[in-house]
Amino acid sequence: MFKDYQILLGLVVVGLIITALSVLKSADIIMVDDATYRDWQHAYYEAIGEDEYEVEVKQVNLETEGITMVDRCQSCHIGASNPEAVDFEGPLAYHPPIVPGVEKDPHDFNKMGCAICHDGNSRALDLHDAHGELHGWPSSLTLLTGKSAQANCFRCHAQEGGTLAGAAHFEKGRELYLEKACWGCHAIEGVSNAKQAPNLTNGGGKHGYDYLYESIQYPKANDENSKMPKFDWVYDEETVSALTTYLKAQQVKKIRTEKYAPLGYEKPRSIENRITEPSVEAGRALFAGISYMGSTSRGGCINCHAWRNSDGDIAGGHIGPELTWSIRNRGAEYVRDHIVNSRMHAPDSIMPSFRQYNDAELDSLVLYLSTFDYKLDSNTAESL
Amino acid sequence: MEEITNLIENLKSKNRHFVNLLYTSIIRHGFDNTGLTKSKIMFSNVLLHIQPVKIHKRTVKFKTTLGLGLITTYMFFVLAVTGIILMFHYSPSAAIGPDGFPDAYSRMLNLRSNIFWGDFMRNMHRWAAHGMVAFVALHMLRVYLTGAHRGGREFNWVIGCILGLLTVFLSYTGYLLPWDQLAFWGVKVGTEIARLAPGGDIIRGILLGDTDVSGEALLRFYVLHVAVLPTIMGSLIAWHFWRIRKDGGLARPADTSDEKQIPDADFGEVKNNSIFKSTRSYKLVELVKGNEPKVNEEVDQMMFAWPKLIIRELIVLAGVLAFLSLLSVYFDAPLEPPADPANPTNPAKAPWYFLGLQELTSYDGFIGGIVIPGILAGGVMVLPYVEMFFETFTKTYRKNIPGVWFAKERTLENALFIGMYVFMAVLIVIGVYFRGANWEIIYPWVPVTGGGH
Repeated sequence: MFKDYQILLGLVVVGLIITALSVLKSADIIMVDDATYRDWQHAYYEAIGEDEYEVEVKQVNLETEGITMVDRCQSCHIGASNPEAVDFEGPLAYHPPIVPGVEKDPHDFNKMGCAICHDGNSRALDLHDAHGELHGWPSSLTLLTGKSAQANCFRCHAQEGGTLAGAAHFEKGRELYLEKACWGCHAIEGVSNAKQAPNLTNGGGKHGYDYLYESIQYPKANDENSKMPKFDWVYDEETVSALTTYLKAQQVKKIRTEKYAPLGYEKPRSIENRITEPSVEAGRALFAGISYMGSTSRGGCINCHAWRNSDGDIAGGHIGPELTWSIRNRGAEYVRDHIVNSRMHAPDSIMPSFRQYNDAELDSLVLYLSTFDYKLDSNTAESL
Repeated sequence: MEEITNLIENLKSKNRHFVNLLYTSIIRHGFDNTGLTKSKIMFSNVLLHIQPVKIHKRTVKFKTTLGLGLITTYMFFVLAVTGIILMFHYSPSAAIGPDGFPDAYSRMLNLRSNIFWGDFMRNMHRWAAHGMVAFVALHMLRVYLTGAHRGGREFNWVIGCILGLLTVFLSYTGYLLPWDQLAFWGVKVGTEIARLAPGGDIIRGILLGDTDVSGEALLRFYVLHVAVLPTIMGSLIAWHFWRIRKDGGLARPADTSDEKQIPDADFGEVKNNSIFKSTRSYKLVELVKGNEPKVNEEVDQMMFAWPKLIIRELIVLAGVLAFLSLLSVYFDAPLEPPADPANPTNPAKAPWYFLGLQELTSYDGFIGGIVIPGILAGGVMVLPYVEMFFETFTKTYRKNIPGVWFAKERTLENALFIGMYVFMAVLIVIGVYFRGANWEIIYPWVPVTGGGH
């Protein structure tokens, strides 16, 4: 039918065609699902009215202590540093300044690239590959968009002490973390060393934004044995998002070390400003989870426990027991012990241990709890 | 005018002479259709001279070997070439870089995303590696079913078995190198099986250089994969081939005179310009006494290896390359998240060729993981000697007809051997497709993550 050499020639031709296909595929000419960087660059230069231009891969090499990070995002996001491109479509648009209200943003995208804040696979030129949507891309490095990118400020900048201009979302999350008493169960190095729940010191390094968000909203979503209560504020998107951004920022690995850090890292604060004099006001602040006179001691009892005021209105969380009568029923000593180790009295209690409180802080809380005086008003008393 | 013409003629002839000298200094033969030239082509070419000048006509027939050994060899070459290219872009380090990736894994991302042709090379290497394991198994099946492991070739069978084990081990050491979840847990499972053997802990310790799969293991597997094993493999392949030649080429029945062969017209009439007036070019061999391999050759059934055999071998090469390239263009080699010793995949599966063992291990660790595979591997390796033993010491002498598919005399052996293959294949299919999380039986269309490919 066929001579041998004809079969050979045929196969060689087929082989060469397939090899050519592989080259074209590698060069992103065939088998691409979306617009390529070439298309976007043509569109961009057309939009700014440039006639003479060269389509090229825009690569930023970010030197770190270890490896060089390759950042090619601006091959498509080509207008990021061009204020004229403010109204351009999709990936071509101008990136608003990171530090608000300055004339010249110190963040130069041509030096730092994009992925250092936004994560994703910065090496890639293909849309899905670059945005970390391919199978197997680690969930801890999926794309961070919008305000959640503030989680990555701390790869370069100081994390402890002082606020960072522009990182308002992160700061809000930090306040919430303390106020909502997350620290009572979870440990973050330099914040608390609770052992009740998973340590979050590298929570953002291990897990992605979506995972953290979901775990706050539905604690059992990723661990069905989780004992974490489902809080009643979890449907407030802004709150959870800020908290998630704070948690996402908890990464042990920094892109830049102290030597290279633009603002320099600060070590976690070792000298803590603690409450030294017991007072009702201090106890109130601890109970509410807010800072008292600049103290670093935090409480947040209110997130789980409630009390009644004189009108019979209940305020606070419903996860733990109501505390209106606690001092009257149990006595100050019992309450004090219970704060330090709740399982002394109730072995199945999920309440975190507040061992780190000093005497003044414990006394403050007992003093505050003693102020709950729920009196029956005359009408109710009569009806009884 | 005439002088100029003469000068030009003179120059032309000198030029012809020079070109001729140049040509003969590089290629020492012409391409005419004489037996001498055809012999010269074969034995004056370093790549071709590993093959004999004259071969039996059966050799070039597809059904003799199905090209399986040849395909395996070509896959080894493909792996060597793509492997060397990949080595330029790889670093066997599990150190975590500032972007949170282990260095080795980071190299995989580079290959996939920002090295030109890197994904293609990695795909080629991956698919050729799996292909080689499969084709080694098929080649062994072919050899056994045609009875080609007997008749003086017993020891070559042993070498072949060692080559097969080396192939699996090479593929396995390469499996760890991407340092992703698939690699880490696949190797973890495999080395845990090794632990069940007596002294397995020591072997495992030597192999891993640590108490667990770690950066140290990565370095050791890398050195084994790129230096130690390929060297041993290359040497053994040479030995394997050399023995085939010394055993007189492919196995065939003693008398092939009534077999229908390729007509001479198919590969061209050979002009006989031999001084011995015979198509054979090595008459001297026939003067050797005794039952030497070259004696009693059926001259009528012999043909020149050039060009028929060479062309057909090139067809197989082109076919292998085209098939692997096609596979590599359309199917990407798997890449899971980076290795995380704290978070096992569920199920954690070994590479597919070990899944039969893993399946057996799931019933009983020691019997399934050590005893049965040990008996299979060891038993298969000495199989020709077992046959020889029975034939010598019992009265169950069977006539061996090498080179004949499914010889009637060997029905029992063939059935047992096929049975073993079916047994392993069924276990592998169960392991690959029917085992899900917690090693529970699932339907193959239930999606699972982790391992098995």
